[in-house]
Amino acid sequence: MNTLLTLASEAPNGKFLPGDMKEFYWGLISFSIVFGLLAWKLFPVIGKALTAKGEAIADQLAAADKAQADADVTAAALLAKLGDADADAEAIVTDAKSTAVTMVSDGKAKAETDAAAVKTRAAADIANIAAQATAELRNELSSQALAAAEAVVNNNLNDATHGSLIDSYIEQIGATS
Amino acid sequence: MTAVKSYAQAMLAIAEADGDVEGVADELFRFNQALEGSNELTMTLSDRTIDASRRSQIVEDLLDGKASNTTIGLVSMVVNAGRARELGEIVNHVVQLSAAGQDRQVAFVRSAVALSDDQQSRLSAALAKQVGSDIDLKVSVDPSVVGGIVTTIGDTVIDGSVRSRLSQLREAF
Repeated sequence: MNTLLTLASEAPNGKFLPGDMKEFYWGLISFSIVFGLLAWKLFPVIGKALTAKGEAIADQLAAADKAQADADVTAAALLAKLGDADADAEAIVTDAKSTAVTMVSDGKAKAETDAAAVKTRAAADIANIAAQATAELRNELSSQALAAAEAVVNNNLNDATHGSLIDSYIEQIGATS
Repeated sequence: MTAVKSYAQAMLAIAEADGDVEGVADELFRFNQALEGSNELTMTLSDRTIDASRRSQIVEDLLDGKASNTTIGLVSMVVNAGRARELGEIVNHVVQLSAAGQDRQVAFVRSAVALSDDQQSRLSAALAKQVGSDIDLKVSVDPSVVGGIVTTIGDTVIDGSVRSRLSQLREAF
C-alpha cells in the first residue's frame, strides 16, 4: 500500500491519487484479484507448511525432552550403579579383611595344634626311648647278673654239691608223694 | 600210627623173639646216649651220601663186643632206613613199650653228674611211690643241666635242675 501511495505521490499531476481514476481502479481490482488468488491458493499452503513445520518443531522438542528425560534416567542409573560399585567394593574389602582375619586365626590355631602334636609325639618318643633304654639296661644287668650267678654256681659245683643237690631232689620227690 | 611207633613196635617184637627185651632196650638206650652226645656220629649215620653198608659197618664197629647181635642188627636197620635222626625217639618208645610190658613206667633222668647206685635206688623208690607203679630209671649225664636232676615220666617233667633255676632267675629280672 505504501508503495502504491508512493507511486501515486509520484504521479505526473503531483497529487496522491492519479488523475486518471480508472487506472487506479483497475490497479485496485488487479491487486484484489492477485491478492485473492494468493489468499485462496498460496496462503493455505503456506499455512499448512507453517503448521507442519510447527508440529515438526514441536515433535522435535518433545523428542528432545524425551531424550533429555532418558538421559536423566540413564545418568541416574549410572549414578546408582556407581553407588552400588562403591558398596560392592566396600563389601569386597570388608570380606577380604574378614577372610584375612579368619586365615590368621585358623593358621594360628593350626600352628598351635601342630605344635601340641609335635610336643605330644616328642614326649611319647622320649618316654619310649627311656623305656627302651631301661629295658635294655635291665636286660644287660640281668644277663650280667645271670652270667655272674652261673659263674658262681659253676665254681661252687663240686662233687659234694652235686650230691647234695641230687639228694635234696630225691627227698623232695619222696616228700611230695 | 607214626613211623616212629611202627619201628618201635617192630624192634620190640624182634627183641621179644630174641628173649631179652629188657637187655636189648637197655643197650639201645645206651647207644642212643652215645649218639646224642656226638653230633659228628649223628651226622655221619644220617648222611645218605654214605653207602648204607658203610654206615652199618660203623654201627657194628662201635657196638662190637659192647652189645648183643640183636641190638646191633636193630640199630643197623634204623640207620640203613635213613632214620638215624629219629633213633632217639624210636628207642624211647621201645624202652617205654618194654617197661609197659612189665607193668612199669620209664623215668628218663638227666643229671649233670652220674648217679650212684644208692641215689638211683632211692630216686626209683621215690618216683615209684609218687606214680604208683614200679619205675625203670634211664639215667643220662647231661652237662646242660648244670646241677640237680630233670626227670621225665610220660608227659610229666619234674625239673630240679640248676639250669631251670637260673632260667627262672633270668625271667624274674
